[in-house]
Amino acid sequence: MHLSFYKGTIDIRGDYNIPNAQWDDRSHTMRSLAFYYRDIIAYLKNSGISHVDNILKLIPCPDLKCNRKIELRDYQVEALERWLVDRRGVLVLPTGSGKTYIALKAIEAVNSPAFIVVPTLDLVDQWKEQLSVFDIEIGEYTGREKNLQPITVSTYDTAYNTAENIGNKFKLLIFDEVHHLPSEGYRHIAEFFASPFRMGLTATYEREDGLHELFPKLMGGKVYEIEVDDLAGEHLSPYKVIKINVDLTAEEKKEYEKNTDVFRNYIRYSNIKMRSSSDFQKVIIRSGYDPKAWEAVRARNLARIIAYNSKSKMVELESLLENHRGDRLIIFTRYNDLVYRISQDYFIPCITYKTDKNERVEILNGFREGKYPAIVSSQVLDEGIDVPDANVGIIMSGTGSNREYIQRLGRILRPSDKKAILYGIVSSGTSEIGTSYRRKKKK
Amino acid sequence: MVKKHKPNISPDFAIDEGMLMEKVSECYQPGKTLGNIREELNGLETYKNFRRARGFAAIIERNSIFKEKWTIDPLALRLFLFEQGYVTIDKERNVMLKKAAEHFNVDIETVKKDFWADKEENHILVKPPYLETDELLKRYNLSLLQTLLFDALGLRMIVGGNYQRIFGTIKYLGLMYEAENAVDGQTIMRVTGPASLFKKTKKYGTSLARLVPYVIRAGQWRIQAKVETIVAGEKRIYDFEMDDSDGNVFPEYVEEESFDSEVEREFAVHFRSVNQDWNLLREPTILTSGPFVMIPDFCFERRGRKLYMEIVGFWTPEYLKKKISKVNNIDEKIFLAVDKNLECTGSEFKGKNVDVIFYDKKIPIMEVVKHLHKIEEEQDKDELKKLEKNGLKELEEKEIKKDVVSLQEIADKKNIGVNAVRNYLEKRGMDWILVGNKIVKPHVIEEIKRKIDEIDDRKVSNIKEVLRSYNLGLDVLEKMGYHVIWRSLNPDDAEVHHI
Repeated sequence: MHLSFYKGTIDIRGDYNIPNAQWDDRSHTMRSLAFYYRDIIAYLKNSGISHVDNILKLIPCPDLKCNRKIELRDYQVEALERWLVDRRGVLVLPTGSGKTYIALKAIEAVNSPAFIVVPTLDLVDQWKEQLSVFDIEIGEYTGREKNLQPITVSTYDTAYNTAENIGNKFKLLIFDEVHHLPSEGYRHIAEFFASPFRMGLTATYEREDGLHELFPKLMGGKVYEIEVDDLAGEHLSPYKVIKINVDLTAEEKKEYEKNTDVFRNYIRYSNIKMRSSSDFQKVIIRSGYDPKAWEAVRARNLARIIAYNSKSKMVELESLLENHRGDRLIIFTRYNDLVYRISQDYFIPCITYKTDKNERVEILNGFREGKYPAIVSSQVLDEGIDVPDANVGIIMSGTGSNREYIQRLGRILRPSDKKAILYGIVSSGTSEIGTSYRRKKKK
Repeated sequence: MVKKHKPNISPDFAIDEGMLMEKVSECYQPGKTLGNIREELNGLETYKNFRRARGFAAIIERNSIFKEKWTIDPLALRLFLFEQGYVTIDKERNVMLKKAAEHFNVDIETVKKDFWADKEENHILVKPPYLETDELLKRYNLSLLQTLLFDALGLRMIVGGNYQRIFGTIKYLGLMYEAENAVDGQTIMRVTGPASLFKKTKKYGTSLARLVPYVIRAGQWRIQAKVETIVAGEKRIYDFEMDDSDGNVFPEYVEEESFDSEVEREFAVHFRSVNQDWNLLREPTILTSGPFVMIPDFCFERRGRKLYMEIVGFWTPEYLKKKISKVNNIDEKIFLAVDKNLECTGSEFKGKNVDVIFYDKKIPIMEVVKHLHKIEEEQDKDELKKLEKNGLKELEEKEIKKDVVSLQEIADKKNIGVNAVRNYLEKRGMDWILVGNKIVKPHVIEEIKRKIDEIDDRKVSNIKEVLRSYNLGLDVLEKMGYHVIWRSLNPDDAEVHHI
């Protein structure tokens, strides 16, 4: 049997039938998805079938050794040991619990080329910094740079676009925030890579759409899990959640009601039952041909903007800023417009997905060093960005997603000598209450 | 924007919508900020046209140039203010603004204005696109089709030309195809990606979309695609089909991505400069070999004899072996030029097959000529056999009895090579002397010799005149035992001597 890698698949020539492979009439060979590599080779070996394995073309790699000793905490040691049993699987650990250190140790143990996939460019920078303990040039494979090295960091988007070309160059594949992986597109990354060893890292294994069922196949399933509560007080600082309801101003309330009425009337008139977000999708689809639906969607968006941007919230924010002078604050909000407004009104440095890399680095470093006491951001800081020692979080708006809530919390739960507080500012009497309520119930 | 009529789906092309396109274009006045333009566009939108209007705007924006405009570098200004710490009351805020104004030596209004001057919506339109409304509509339509194909699971197409581009692009994009010849000289292709074998995937949609500009330039074409689409909240697969009769909705000229390699271009130029006997063709036809189709990069042609050359990029020994077995099944003669630096595996290729030449950076012309030479010899032999079998016609027999006979003329008349004619006549053992591509009777040679010897001034220019009267050139002199001594490039300086 002869096996070679072709564009995210394995080309198989020979007379035996191979599990997970199929005859391909286009090439007159058998073919399988690359991620079956480990299974196929194991099958051939167990069956005593002679074969030539030309699949992996690993990037030449020196001995990978950390230049300083990394002391793992007991739960990190446990997580690493569990993973090393099969060198596959997902580790579920809360944000701020030092997932990266486990990955560093795993790379050292495998001692072979490793490819690390992360959601954002910020995380790419952060991983590269951490990986510098290996004393070799760390590669980057992203939209801004394409440089393959024995240890290379990439984003989900770039990895999705290029997996078929680089899927046989690394023995170890690591996904940070691996809950992104099962989505229909990103899944291809795991499938097109032949890498026999795989590690997934996340704080939230379950996905609301149930697609985490795919993990056992793509990654090797959950091999370790530890909850926030198990760590809080021990390794992470304790925290308090305070919810603040604010009323819309009289004028806002009038505008808000006017617009929600337009939407509600349409729903009543059109007989659509609003039970889930897909029902709202129906209204959007109708807006393409039904002028009333179009008006309704417009009105609903306006109402939401009024609720999210309420002047009362700004007043509340002002008093929180005053009360927490001397603390380290991070303000979250969903809308970029609001981020820019807060930044310009209160002179607080801000970060959105549009922020230029240099400015972002300057702001994060400045915050770390204490030059800036506060930062305001839209969703880009949600995942794993290393923002140390913030002890006050303020959520100005947000969606009801379970995952988002835990991770936003995690940002403030970094070890620090001060008690952490999380504020959620919500406009009462608006649909936002619903969002916020749904969020709490789930936890 | 798509139209769905179960089970069909197609882009909702913009055809009679020049009015809207013009209205949208008018929003793009130089000097305006992107934010202002978008607000204005927002005012244009109605429930009926908003998708169209946004699509048109995207096309216009893609072809426009925007720039930042400010007095103080906004980033420096912001960092200056951020460093002062945050403010919560207006009084504090005004103090800070004043401080910044003094620091940067501008007024407070400028500070306020420049704070976000680098933000996208504050960018100023410098250059709107210089494109006709009609051209904008056509570009919009092409992007609509491409957007539809992003969700395609595969593409079936029938094309009547532009093969090299199409197949080159398929190869370049890492797609796979099955192809067969259709009756009327067109080719049917099914294009998918490697993993399409296992599941219906949209992964290759963007690649398939990139093929489209080449397909619509094939003259005759038809595209069929299975497209994944959401209907009533569920995934469905709908059919899309379109052909060249609707091709006028697309722009005539589309910027091409060039996949033509430097190696190929260089080779073509170089080869034509050293070899005139063979024609070099760059758009050869499709060769079929059982279920496979090959589209060689070059075709060499000499009096109807053809030799194809395919340039092989990335390869493995296995791939080459397979390719060679493919080549052996093809009736046509073809050889492979393989870049030895692009081997994908470490193991060596041990095939002894003569049909492969390896190259490093440049395709070696001499190696190619060697290949061609084998065919030349074969062709010469075949032509000689044919000539011997059929003999010469009566007129031609008369022709060769003349004093001086041009072999080229006979060869051209019989549509064969000079070599075959020469070998044939040599075999007939006639009494003559061969000079270049001409044969000269011995008595004529003697006559010319006499005439030359009678001339006192043996300047080349004088001798040339004698030869010209026999339709001969200077090359005959050597055969007659003369020798030309050149003193300069001027024939009046050169003299002819007996050896």
